Amino acid sequence: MQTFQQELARTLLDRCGGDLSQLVVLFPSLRARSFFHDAVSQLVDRPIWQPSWMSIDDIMQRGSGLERGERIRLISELFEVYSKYNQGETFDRFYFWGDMLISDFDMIDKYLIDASQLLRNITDIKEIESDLSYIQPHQERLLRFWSSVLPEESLSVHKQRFLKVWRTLPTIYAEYRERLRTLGLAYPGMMYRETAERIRRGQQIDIPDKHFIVAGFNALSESEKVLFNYLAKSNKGAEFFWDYDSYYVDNKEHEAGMFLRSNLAQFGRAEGTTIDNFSKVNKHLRATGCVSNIVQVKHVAAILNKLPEEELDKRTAIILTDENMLVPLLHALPSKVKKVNVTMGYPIKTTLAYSFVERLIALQSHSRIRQDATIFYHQDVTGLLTHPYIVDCCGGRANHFVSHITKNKITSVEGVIFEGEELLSQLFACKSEDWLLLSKYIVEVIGAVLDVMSTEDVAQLEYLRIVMEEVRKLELSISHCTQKPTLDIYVSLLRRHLQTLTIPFEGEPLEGVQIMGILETRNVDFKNVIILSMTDANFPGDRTEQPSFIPYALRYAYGLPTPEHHEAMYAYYFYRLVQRAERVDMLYCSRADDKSTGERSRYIYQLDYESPYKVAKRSVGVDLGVSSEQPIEKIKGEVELAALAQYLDPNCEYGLSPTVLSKYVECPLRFYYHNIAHLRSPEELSDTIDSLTFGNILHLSVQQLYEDGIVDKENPSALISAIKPERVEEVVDGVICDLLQSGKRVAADEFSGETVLVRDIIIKYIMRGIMHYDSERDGYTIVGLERDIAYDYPISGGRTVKLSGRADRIDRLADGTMQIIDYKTSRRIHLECHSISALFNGTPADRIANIFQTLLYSMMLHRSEGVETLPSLFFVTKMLSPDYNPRIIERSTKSVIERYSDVAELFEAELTNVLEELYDPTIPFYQAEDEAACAYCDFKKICRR
Amino acid sequence: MKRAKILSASAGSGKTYQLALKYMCDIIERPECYRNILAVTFTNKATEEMKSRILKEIHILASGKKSNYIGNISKALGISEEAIRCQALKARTRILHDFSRFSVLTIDRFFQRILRAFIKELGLDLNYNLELDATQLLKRSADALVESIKTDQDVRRWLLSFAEERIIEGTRWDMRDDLSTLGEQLFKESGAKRMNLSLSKEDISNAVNVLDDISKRKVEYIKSLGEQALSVMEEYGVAPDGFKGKSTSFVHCFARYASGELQPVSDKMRSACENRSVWYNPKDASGGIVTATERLIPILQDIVVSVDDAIRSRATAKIIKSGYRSFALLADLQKKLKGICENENTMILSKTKDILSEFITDNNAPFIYEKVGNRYDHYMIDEFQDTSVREWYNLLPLLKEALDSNEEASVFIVGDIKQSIYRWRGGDWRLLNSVAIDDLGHENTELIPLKENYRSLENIVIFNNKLIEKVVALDNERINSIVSKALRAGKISASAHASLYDILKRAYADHEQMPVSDDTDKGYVEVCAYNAKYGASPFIEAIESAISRGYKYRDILILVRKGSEAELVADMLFEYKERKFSSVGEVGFNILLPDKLTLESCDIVEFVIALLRLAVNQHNDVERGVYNRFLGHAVDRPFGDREYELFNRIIHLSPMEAFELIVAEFKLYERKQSIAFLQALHEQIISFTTSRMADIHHYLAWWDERGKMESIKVEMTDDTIEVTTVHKAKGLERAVVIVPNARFGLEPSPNLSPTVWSDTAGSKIGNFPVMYGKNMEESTYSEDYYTERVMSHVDGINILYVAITRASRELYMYIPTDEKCGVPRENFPTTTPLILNVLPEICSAPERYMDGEVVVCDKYRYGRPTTHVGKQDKDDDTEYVLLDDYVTNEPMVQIHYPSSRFIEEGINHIGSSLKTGILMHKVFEGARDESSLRQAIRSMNQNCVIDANEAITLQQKVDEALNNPKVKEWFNGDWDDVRVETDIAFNNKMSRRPDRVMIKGDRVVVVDYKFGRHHRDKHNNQVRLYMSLLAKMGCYKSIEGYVWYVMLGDVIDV
Repeated sequence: MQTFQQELARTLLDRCGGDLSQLVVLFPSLRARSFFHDAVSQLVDRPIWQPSWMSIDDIMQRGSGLERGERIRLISELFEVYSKYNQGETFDRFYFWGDMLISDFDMIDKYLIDASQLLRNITDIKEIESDLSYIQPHQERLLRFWSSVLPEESLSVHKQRFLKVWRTLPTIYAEYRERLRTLGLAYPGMMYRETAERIRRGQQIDIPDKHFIVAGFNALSESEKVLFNYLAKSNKGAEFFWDYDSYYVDNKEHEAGMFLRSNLAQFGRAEGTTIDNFSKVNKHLRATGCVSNIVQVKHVAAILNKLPEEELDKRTAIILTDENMLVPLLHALPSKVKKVNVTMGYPIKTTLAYSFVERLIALQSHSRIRQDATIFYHQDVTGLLTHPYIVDCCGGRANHFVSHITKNKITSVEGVIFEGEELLSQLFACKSEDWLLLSKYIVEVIGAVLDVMSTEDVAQLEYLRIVMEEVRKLELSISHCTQKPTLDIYVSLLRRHLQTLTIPFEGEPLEGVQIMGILETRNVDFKNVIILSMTDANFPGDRTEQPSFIPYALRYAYGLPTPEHHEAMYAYYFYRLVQRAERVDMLYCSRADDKSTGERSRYIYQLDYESPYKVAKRSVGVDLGVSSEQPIEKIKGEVELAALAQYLDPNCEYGLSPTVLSKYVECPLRFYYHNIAHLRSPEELSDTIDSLTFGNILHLSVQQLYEDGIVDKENPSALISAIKPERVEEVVDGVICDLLQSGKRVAADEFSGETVLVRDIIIKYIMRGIMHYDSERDGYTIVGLERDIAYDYPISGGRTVKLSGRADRIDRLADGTMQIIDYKTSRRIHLECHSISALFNGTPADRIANIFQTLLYSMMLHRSEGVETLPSLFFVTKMLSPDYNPRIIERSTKSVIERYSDVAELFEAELTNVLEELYDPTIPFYQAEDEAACAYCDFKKICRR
Repeated sequence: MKRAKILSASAGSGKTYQLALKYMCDIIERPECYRNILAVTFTNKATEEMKSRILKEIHILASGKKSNYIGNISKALGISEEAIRCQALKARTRILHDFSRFSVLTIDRFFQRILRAFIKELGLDLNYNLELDATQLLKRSADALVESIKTDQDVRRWLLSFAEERIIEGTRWDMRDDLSTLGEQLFKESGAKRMNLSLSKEDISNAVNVLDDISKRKVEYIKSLGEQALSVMEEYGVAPDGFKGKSTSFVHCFARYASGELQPVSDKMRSACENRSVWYNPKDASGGIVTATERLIPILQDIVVSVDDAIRSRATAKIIKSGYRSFALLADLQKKLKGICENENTMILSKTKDILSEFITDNNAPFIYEKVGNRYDHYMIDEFQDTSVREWYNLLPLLKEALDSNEEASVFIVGDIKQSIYRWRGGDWRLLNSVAIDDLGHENTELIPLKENYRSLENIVIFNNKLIEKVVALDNERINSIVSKALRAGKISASAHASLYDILKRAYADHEQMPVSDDTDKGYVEVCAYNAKYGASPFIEAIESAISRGYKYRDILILVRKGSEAELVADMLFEYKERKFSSVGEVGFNILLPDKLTLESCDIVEFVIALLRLAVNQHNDVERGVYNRFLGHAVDRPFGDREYELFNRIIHLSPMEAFELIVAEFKLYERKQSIAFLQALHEQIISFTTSRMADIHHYLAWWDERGKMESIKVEMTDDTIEVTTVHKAKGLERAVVIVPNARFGLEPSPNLSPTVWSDTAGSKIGNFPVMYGKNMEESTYSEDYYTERVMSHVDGINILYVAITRASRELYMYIPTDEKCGVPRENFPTTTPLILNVLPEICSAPERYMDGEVVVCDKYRYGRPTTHVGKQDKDDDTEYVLLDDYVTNEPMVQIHYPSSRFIEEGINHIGSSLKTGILMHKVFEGARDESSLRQAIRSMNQNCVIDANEAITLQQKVDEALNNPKVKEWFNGDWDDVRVETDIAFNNKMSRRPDRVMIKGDRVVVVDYKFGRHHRDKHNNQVRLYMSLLAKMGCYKSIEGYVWYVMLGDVIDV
């Protein structure tokens, strides 16, 4: 197979006697140039100059004498004009719509449409009927459109809105262009029109005095056609080479040949390239549906591996119609491929530098000012402090602040705490209140990071530098505009700007397997072609929803590009790529879900149903394997036994607490994870108040309230009922400040909404629950708040196990019984257990930790001080009801436990069993049998339950 | 001829065939008319299937192959086969090359298209995001609502008393979850649309108090009546025991009413209002009794009238009181939601339908068509029974306009009310039943029932006919008795009774189908009532049996009621797969599950996630445990240096590249059995990275919130068994269908009570979201209660219908029963007793299987299983393969950093010299002479690469450079030709591109620019090479070469 470029190079060399230096070549894409270079270098035996290159854009710009304006600038200028005629729209609301309007103007100009006709203000249908200037065949379409909009008397709101804008367009268009011209600026179409009109007026435009070779073009706008005609008539003339195949050009219905049919008629065709390859070059075509996008990417390796090794070079191309697949593809190439060349760029938006900017934006947009101090949201702050760049720059200090914030539960971080820290104080300096401040802030922070960063990682430095330059560039663009964006729109502009940026890959363009986007394939041929993401929605894609203010009917009537144009262009790209290829693999993701139909591209149907070739079909799936979970256990080795042994020492500082022991009863392996291996879930600062914090606030508040004048007073009910609500509020607010505001005294209305609610609820619980309950009874004295209790529990072999813990509260009752009280804030009320033994051996639901723990405290106090004890639970949610009884009920015997000693024998027998098992070196730490026990376990992920 | 047709298409009646036939007839008649046909489907998947089917059939016609359609087309159009094929060829060409006009769309997509064309007119933002799922938005709205209590005392009071109430009830004080759940109602067509959002919380609270007062007053009044009656009796010295029946006399009721008890009225009390013989036996009645009775009768009459009313009021007040607090917050919630959507430029899908509904009503169809760019004359609507009222009224104006303005226009609606199972999503089969005909006009519309069944073999059709007949009759009877009783008790109106009475009978009136298959096999049905106490559903036996008789795994479809059941079934299948195949090292079969196999359920996924978490925070012990366990280490093993280094590498990457690194580092690609999960996670990460943000922190947060719940998808192959829910099976057909748990609920499920929007008659509150429940029955909402209840029966029967009509050759149903395989005792009626009661009338006596003394199951059979000679599906020449190599390598290419050239030249990569270097290079690279140097700086300034100050500095630097007379000469514009960055082709080698070549006559000067701070020999060599190339060109006599160190100002003559 000869490629188009090889044929062209051969023809041109023959024609010019080996000297191309006097030619100017116009290709539609840059990519084509290097393939042409390559083709030339294969044909010459001495060094020669390559021809000169020009692009249509170059010529049009030079011809017009105008400068292409930045998009943002253009939109801002348009707004100046637009808002004169359409009041009440803000620049922000206008921005994207203005962008669309400029695209419409651009088209109108490129196609040399008489805008005053197109945008005419029609008020009466008769106008169209009587106006002969409308081209006949399209008059009907126009009539139909306008008669659907008019007549006026029945105008809906929507039609009114349409007409209102429409009627201002002719003026806006004219005024806008005038304004730009004065500024020496233009959008591309304006330059095209200017040049084309100059040519039409017979003026000369500045082009080299050389022979022009126009090669490989397809869709041409009217202004391009004017230019080509001009080139053809210029001094040294021009020749037109078209890259096509008679397969689709000769078939009048075939959309791929739509533009070429008219180009050939208008410009003729220079001989020297072949046009019958589609049928001449035998083809193997295959369509492969895959279960996911990534599976198609991975399947590429299977296809490449089947190709002859020597063809894994520039003769093989992988075409990405969805650029998001680029990075995955680069990782999915088989080792058989030795070299690749990537024409697409690496997307900046997937770099750390970009996410750094996003974090800066988030920090700034969530920040607020409170009494002259800037306050940042903790997640933004810790997010930045743990960002690799900051860690690289000042990891130690950053880490210090993270733990400071987390430990003290600082949800609102004041910028001042970073004072004196070089980089950090800059990072958390103050709120950037407008776009310019934000832009400068980002540039400065990146600059500072670049100065300090210690990494050897060149890539990160480069990314940061590129991002910084682009932020600056955007800042410069905006500063040229009269309209300044709000912060929101600036952020949105910045994002769009950075998200489209890419960095090129290294590589010799003509070595190795080629990876490119569909647009880059123009005028380039491959023997083996692999096209990815060939669903119809992606390739050619649905253009019927392309935004434009000009109604379809009018676009059609005036010959402006419609979705059909777009489709014809893509069809051409596709067929041109296939025409000389020998092996074409078309891959697509066939999954149908909420978002996509998984429908294969129309081109697959076309080839399958119409071409002389058979399209082989393949479907790639994945095997769904089974992975059954093996139970795990931990055998007690030296380390574990040693860890356990510490509790056998009566002098050890901390014993086993009831909480810990109840963990063992629930699941021995959980006990191991927590108390032997000391695994901990990471501390996280959360915005919502978890049940643990909720409980802590309540506990501490009650403790503070009672510590003060209630403890050790006999029959304190009157004292308790005398506590004023203000006092309760004060105490609760104080505790909340201690726990949630790192001790800082903050007024309650500075709390978050949720905290306010929680505060109100806790006050209710305390006053109507605990205090009310305590003030309604007699015959008790509060003797202990948060009191430590310990006991050395005897087990076999003369050993004792140290048990110790802290009881929430201990009351002495009239008969001398000590009531052990545990405050509980949980919603589920557990005052009943099935039986004492079920607490140890029952189902997970039977092993009620609350009851187990309060019994254990009762036992410890009973044994250590030899007093009678009464285990009880204060469920604050339940205490609002008048007949609350905190005693524990045993369901199996239908009895209320009034004294610990009644159940002591049973309880202690079971407890002994548990402790014997714990200290039995032959029994490993095993998993709870019933998975119900795992519902709230931190470690269930490790067990995979 | 009537131009609107409504096809009532029972399952298997060839509905898809009819649609395709209609489509093809239209385009065979006029090949270009595909542009004016709009076919509306229910799902994206159905869209694809319909499109490819139509294309394939046209292709078959066009290419002269044997077609199932040609006969019917010929009949319908009255043209020859030859003519048909010729027209088909034209149509195929047109459609294939104007594919975007080939409009088979889901209804949502069609509406979106219209919306997008009118963005400006509708006042929408360009680029709005469409959100399909409002759940997250609602959650955030609820958070925002709670947060607002800081500023809004009203909300604060409200929320606090709400929280208090919840605490007393024993529910969680945090109401946010419940609020956002209730918020879903805002998007239901039935609900919020009729809700009065303008009521303030105070209004509502007042209205509730009013209701409560009324109810209390009524109770008081009855109490007073009771007391009155007691005093009458006292007055006459009679005791209740003195009346007829003594201690059982109804007269005791007065005492109870007097005590404030609100006892329902008994039948005896009712008859006693008229009938004295209920009070006493005239023969032995004392005078006191008789006179007292005369005084008591009016009191009793008053009581009878009042009690019903009082009970109703009390029940209503109770319902309202339990829900009005969250109801009152709905309006606030909606405000918050609106704010969030506006801020984020987001629109919720269901909202678009509201906007459209307004838009379509206000505008004429031609305006819409002309602006969108396409007009439709032929409408085809599939699965019409699941269309919602709003969707229908959004379409109707377009349909009517087409019919009115175009003689050729047609409307073709296909549906089956028996398969209506999407009521919970807004589907309303009354449209198909009657509304559509009324709307389109009876004179225009023809109703065509399809009687034949093309799908199933004879025995299946007949079995289903019989089963449905009897089951429907039984349940219909039950519904009738329920609603008749309700009518008598005054709980529903006569009109409601009329619409509910016989509802099933009417819906299923023409369910009976004719089998038309000419297959020699007659098909097989097996119903197995199994002892659920003995063990789980033994459905695996059906799979083994079918496979042993020549079916492929892909011929089997397993139907379940809901997702959780699918998981159980999948577990059993996995267990079977492991037992049967893993031991012999075979794949066996694959399982295709509905969205139920979640990503987090696989250890390899948890491992990757654990690593990402560890990269973020190495002190996470739990993740360390997960990591260690996956690799087979002790869970508490500490990390080594290598691992810390790995974490550091990961954290510097995007999530996408971090994933690749992890897969490569731990050779996860070797774990072939986990590829399904690996690829699903990979897909998710790519999609997250590209559509949201390439940030590991953010990804992990999203993973916890949403990502981990995503399900994995597998492709159908020959060896795939599909497990799916009945809802998703709509439209599916498979040779063998197995229902492992054929038990379908008929009443609204108690733990999944639907919310019913119901009118609170006589109160300001109006429409109110009532949690369906028995308590509605006594209240004002009783009619809605009965309607919901009956509709739920219809849903249940419809689900059964859909489930049993999927099979073409064999149908297996496994029904869980009690120990004796009799009807189990059930609190909520299901289809089980209905089926088990009628089976003996359809099948011969069941075979009983025992395990010792224990009954295992009873098997009812209809027909006989036969060996299946697997017909090779000729049309499907697809080759199915599994991805078995998850190739993961380091990319072979390096990124080209913009400053690498300068760094190579020795510029430090930090600081301003690099930037100056880059800028200077930019200025010089394309410039031919001094004026173009200036132009270059100007346009850099214009294009915002540099600001004005930088431009001045740059110009100074350039001027400095030009101070060198050599350089000055290069840029003096006095050359014949200047070639900047122009390639020299060179004998099949890489092109060479000197920075600047100047030619005058036969003198040529070549210059290369360097921006570094050091002279290097290699720079000279490079220029020497250029010089030799120029020499070889043979046209230059004098060749000079220079290296120009721009920043140093040195020009080196080579």
